[in-house]
Amino acid sequence: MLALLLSTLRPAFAGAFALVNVQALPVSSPPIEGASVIVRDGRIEAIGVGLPLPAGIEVVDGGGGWLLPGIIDVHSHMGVYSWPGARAHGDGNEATDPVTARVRAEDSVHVEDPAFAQARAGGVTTVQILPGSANLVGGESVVLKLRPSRTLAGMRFAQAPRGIKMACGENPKRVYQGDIDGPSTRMGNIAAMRQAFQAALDYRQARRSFRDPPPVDHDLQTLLDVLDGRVLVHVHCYRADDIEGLFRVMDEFGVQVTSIQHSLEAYKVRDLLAAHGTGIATWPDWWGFKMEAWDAIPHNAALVKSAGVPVALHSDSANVVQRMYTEAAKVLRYGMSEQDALTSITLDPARLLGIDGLVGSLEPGKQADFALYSKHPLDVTTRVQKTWIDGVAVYDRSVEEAADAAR
Amino acid sequence: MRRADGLSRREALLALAAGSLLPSAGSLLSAGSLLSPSAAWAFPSRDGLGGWLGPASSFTLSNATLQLHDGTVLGPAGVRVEGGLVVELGEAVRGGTNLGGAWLCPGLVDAGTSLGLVEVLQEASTRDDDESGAPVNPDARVVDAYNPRSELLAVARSGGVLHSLVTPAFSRLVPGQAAMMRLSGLTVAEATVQAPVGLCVCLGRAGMGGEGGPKTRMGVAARLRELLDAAEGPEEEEGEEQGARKRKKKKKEAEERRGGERDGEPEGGSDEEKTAAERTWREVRAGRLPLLVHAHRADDLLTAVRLAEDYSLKIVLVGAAEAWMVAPELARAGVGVLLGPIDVQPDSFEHPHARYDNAVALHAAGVPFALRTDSAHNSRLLPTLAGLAVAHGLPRPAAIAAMTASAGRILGLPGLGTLEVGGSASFFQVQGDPIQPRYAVQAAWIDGRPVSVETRHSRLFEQYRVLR
Repeated sequence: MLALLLSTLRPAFAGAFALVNVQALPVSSPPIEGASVIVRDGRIEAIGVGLPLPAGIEVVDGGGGWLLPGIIDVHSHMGVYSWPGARAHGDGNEATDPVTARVRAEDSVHVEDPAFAQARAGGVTTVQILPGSANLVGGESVVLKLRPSRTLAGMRFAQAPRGIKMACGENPKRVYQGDIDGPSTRMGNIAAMRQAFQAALDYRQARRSFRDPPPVDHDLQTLLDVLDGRVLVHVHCYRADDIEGLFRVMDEFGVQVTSIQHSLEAYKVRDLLAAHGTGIATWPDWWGFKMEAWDAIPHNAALVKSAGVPVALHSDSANVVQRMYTEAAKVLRYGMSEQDALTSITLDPARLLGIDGLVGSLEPGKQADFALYSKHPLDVTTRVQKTWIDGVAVYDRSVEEAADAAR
Repeated sequence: MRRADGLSRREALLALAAGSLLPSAGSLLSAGSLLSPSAAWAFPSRDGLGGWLGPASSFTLSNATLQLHDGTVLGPAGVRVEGGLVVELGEAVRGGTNLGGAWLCPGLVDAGTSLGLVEVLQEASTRDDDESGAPVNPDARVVDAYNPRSELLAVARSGGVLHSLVTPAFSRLVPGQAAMMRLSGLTVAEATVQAPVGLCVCLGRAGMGGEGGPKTRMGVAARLRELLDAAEGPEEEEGEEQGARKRKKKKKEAEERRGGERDGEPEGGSDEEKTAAERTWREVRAGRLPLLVHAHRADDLLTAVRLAEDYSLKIVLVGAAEAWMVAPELARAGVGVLLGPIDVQPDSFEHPHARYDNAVALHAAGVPFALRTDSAHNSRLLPTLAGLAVAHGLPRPAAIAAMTASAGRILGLPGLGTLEVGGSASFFQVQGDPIQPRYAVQAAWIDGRPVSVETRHSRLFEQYRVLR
């Protein structure tokens, strides 16, 4: 039993190989033509030109393809809205109460969602699975590596810090407008957040009393962890005034917001984001699907990045996640540099998840998560040839095509 | 998180509160810059003028890379335009405006959007694309809903999309009549290329529901047969007398089936005696108005072919996520496909076998197809979707054709989406290869008239480029 558990917990690759003849895009440093990468025990040991290869090491020829760090998507609902789309697969929104801090996305993830494999074929190696945005406090996220696995434990990004999903704006007020306690307005959203954090502080006080301490409340316990800075805070928020309102209540309680998710009007208040040390996760060009997306502009990512704010391009979609490199290509025309565009799908999302010391770039010591592309990743006609996670090949286009041909 | 300027979060917040991260109010007032343009939801827009920047004129563009609709790339070359038409094209064209190597590409034709019918998707008050409720709306016409001042039109133009087949939402059995629109024009009449170009119907799950609508696939097909049977067929148009005789016989038979109950339908054959809906169905039965049949699952696509053969209809398939599975059958039936969106996923029981290389199989089998975004806000992404098809094996020339000239050919509007001598001067100027997302559209012309590619987005960008 223990052996079985360990086998699902330890997927790491033991051994070594050298990937040679690639055009490396390390993201944390300038591109390297004719590079080699030496991988040992699931980590990058060395990267550079003309590296001496250890005797007997397995050599993989990259064929002159482009090597990009594994793509990281900070906003995904894969597994909690598993394919095929069906009412029975709707496990993303615990829409029973506006504050459900106690629920955890990992308890909804269907690890055999076929979308995971499609994302691997798009060079994606790490995703944050979030609860939906029906609730003001939707619950804890889970960060997964897209290792093929029968168990959640086998997918979990073990070193990733905890994260929580919150939301403001149209969604919570729409979902709860029929409820007697609301919220049904933007001011109701912010008031309910304030009340929830205050309740957590009151609960802490009460729990300290020797006489009649209240029973353990997992919602409030989790909110206390948020107040104590032990959980990264990711807030679904579109409009500039919603972002400002969120900061009002979060500043009041001293809560650091790690990222504004979607943040389509972030460009209007990018100075506020910079001052708060808060990053954004956004789409390159979604707009107009709801009123709070009416002022979305495709220049958002470039403008916010120019203010020194970390910018992650996210998918929020089991479809778009497969082509994040093309999402990055889209922002080039609106003023972002190639370097920043590649950072927006690798290192900046890693920062927002607190795992940038482990993944997000091609550097010695980092986990060997990367993908090989047939052309530059910012060329729309490129294809991912092969994806590795922890030094293990998890997608190989030639294997897929051979299987196709045999059908 | 550390800030780039090295301030701690607390220091930065204090600085922000003190106003030192922002220009002072005094400097704003002295510059008069509080009187900035309003970010209210409606901008004074070029689309108040129908998108036109001026009248058609004679002009020459040279030193460009020409992307022709058949995939050919020429350059350096030029285009000479007179009276709204391309009168000369090629490497011999010199003079006029030097484009410095920028590309000219025929105006893209999105083979399926709800442009002009939708402003904000989740705001019902802005939607005119879905006449839901009644399942059969043969006389719902998109031209009666089309808003030529929609903000979305300029956004589509900014992606090079200058024409679109506009359809009602494909929901319920018969959603209504589609039209080919040019994405500029002060009035609907000015914007209309042709209306109708087809009657939209839905097979599969989309064709079900609505009040009294069918609930199964066989129910969907049965209702369509019923509707087609009720309309006149071509044989009945042969002679007025003969037709009237047949109709009488049919009517009598129908009455007998219902136990003698009188049929209230008009008996006559002349147009005046028919409702608009009846006239529409007659056009369909006569093969003059194509049925645009929305279906994804492979067996639904073949149901469409079966119906077309049984009734000798002209049909065009729409959507067709699983077309690759029945490409030879579609080729044999001579059916065209408005394909897409091509990034449709195997994420539904309606299309569990969707694949990115769907277009490749159609191309190999010789099935004519055009790409559609099935969108409104994201019609501008048509070239990106064409690029995606190329990534998955579609030859680049076929991808270019599929987003330019193909839709017109399939829908009986040859010349639309072409760049050729004698053709309409509808094209756009782009920094580089039009299928690469990185390149911006710089200018566009429709029928020789310059049109604006400025959008609500570019105006907001200008407003907030510098924070005041």
